[in-house]
Amino acid sequence: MYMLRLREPAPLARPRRIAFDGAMQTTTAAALGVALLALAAAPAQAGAPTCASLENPVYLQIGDTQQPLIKALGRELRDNLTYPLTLVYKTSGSCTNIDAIVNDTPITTNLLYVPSIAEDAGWESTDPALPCTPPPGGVIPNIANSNVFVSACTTDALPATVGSFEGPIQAYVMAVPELSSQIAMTYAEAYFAFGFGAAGMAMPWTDESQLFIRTVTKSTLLSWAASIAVPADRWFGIRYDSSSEVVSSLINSPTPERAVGILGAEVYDERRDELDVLAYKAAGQYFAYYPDSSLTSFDKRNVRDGHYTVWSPTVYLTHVDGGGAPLSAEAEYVIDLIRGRAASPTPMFSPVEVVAARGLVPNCAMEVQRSFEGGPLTPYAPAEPCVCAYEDLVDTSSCAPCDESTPCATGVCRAGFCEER
Amino acid sequence: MKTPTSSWAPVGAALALAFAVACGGSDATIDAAGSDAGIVDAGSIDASCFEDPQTYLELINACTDAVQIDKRPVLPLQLPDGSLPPLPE
Repeated sequence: MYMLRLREPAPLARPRRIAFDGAMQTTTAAALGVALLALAAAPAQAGAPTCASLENPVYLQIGDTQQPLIKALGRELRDNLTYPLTLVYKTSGSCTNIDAIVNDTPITTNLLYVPSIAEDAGWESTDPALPCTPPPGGVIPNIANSNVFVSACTTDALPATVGSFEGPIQAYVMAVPELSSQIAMTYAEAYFAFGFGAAGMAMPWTDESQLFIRTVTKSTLLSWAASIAVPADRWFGIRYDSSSEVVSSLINSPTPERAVGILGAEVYDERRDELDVLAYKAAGQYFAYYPDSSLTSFDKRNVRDGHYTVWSPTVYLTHVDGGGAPLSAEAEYVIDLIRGRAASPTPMFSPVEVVAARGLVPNCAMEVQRSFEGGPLTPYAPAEPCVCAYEDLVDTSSCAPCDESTPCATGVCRAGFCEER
Repeated sequence: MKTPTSSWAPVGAALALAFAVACGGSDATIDAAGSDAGIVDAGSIDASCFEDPQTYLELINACTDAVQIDKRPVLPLQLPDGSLPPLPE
């Protein structure tokens, strides 16, 4: 049997993020919490529909960070009349999810789905998902999601029967209170501030009580740790379980000039009126850059073209044939939508918009890639770019619009814009 | 392709030090690059950018019209050759 050598803590210690009032909140699912959740879910599941009775169910085992995306996408797919699907999912740790699809471990509990418009017209993606009852013996997931590279979980190669597909990109930032005069941080400053604490003498970030970081299982810390070569368990600072605690500490800092915290870019984007982002200058870089092309834009252009280096891809896994093609047409459809690739039949919504609205950068809008956590960037040319559509959604696009009556002079018409290819 | 020279380091360090002393540690300046496509004024800092980036160092230093911030802090623990010491035990 294929055995994964886990490098991350047990699943119960994995991060758990939920959408709350438009902001990402993170809590650790401690054993007690899980037990209470199970108790709470049990009565509801007694009256819940069977998952198999839902229309075209696709089973996913995902990291908690991707739950907002899957809920939003699930809502759209429930009412996607050209190809209605029901995303039925369970959240768990990334390495656990990889192990599940590699070893065909059935999901037996805690499956959730989102209602269609007909079932609940007022439901929003910030509302709780609904439980459904798994079939006897459980169900093997069609799709597993990891928010770290597979190589961060195991040194073993994936079996040929499992394909790995990179999904949207998640960027991470250093944020400071608005009253701070700081505008940038270099690789060396981050190394000394977080790797040495006060002894690092990286002014003004020498007060360890004003360095707001995350616990060692959180992707925000893991991504930054890989970027500045300071292992996650060796960072100086106050460790918080949730992004909201980092935000609160920054806002309420008694010494804002000395305060700095790590956040997901999507969290910062929602608190721009209260926080500032620091531009980051990586090792070997001549200048520091924001994730976006300016302090006020939302285009993530520097993430997409390689000027901003602190990001991780989300990864989606599914069973594949000998040629690497997904065995499940439904799984392939869902993964293609998440990746921003053309899918047939054409969905009745914009999957790129769904991804962009969750603060993620679609893979198809990227111009660089990397192959391991914090690894070097190389040029990337997606087969079906969505740069124009993405920029139009989050900022402004200079691309020519197009449709059936207005074809592109050059390039390919996709999602209403003339993309390069 | 424009290639950066290696002569900026001592000049930049001296400028950064002078700026840090003059400004009380605020050692970053914004260059909202415009028509010069991200190339900072060669009179102050001899750095350049790459127009057709292929390698990692070229990608992170590619020409861009995005806002650039020049920051060259003086860090007491940084080694003379610019490298970083090991983390404390």
